[in-house]
Amino acid sequence: MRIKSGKISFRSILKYLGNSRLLLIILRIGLGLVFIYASIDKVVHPDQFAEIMQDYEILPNLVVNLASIWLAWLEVVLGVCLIAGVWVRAAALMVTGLTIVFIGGLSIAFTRGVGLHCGCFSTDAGETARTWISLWQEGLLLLACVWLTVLSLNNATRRTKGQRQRPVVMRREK
Amino acid sequence: MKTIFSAILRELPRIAVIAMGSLVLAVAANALHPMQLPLLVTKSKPGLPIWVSERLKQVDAQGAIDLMNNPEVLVIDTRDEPDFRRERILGAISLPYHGFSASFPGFSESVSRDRPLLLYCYGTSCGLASRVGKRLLVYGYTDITILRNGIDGWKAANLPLETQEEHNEN
Repeated sequence: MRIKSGKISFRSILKYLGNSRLLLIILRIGLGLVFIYASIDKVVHPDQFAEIMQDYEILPNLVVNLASIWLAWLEVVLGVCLIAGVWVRAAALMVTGLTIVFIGGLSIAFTRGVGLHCGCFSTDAGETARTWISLWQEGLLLLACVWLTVLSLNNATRRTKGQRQRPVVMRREK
Repeated sequence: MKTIFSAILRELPRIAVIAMGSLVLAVAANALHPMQLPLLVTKSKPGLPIWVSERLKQVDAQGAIDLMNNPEVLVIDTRDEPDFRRERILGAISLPYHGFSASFPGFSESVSRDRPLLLYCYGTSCGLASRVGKRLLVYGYTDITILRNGIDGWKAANLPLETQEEHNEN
């Protein structure tokens, strides 16, 4: 972090947060654990997760089962990718996309006046129904996902630029 | 910005591999799961395994009357508690889908596993009765029938209902 005349500038904090490798590791492992935790109940009870997806009333009934079992395992795979550090940029982009889809789905359901529980971490039908206010949790998750994406893409961009600017060492001809 | 966009484009093949890989994994895991779901829902409702759909019998309002001539048959309302309190099929007890985990322990203590059960919910498109029916099958209940058009079908056939006022008078 760059400190100018004893003060830490806002810009330098942003730059640090957008480039920190430590933060990248913490975020990818943290989000990986969140996504794996979120998938457990869906993998164990795919039938109950399909019921919740049907309650969203977004997908046609024809594909609800397929979408629900796929979504559960997609979360597992993305969680493993993030924790293991494999294909982090692709996984970060996908978890961001998934979280946007979750928030969009909940918002559409709320707008239609459908009272439902999210199905984000539990498939129990007795869970308290979600409201607009409880969307802050997904908002926080989205923030972390976007941040991870920015960090991982910055990392990639820096590496690409580094490769381009690497000085060519000329061997002197004898 | 342009560099970030091209970085995203570069990730597209990996995104496709993750998406397809997890789809293959999901289909394989579903094939081995005890609650194996049909991948495309053509006949039954979403979330119902094939073996459950085959074991849940269905009757219309007249069939339900015939069934209820047997005093052993227990009528179960799977709608939300306030709707049950407002009006219900005569003699029905409440086992709501939303709140099943809380209500089931008491229910299982008082109702034997081999008792014939008739389940209903709101109407034609309502899937709550089959969802509760599925859970009851999993917990060992063997004789479950669903009232096809729910309480709407029952009302349309001008069959007797019990309302809040009648309940209070009793």
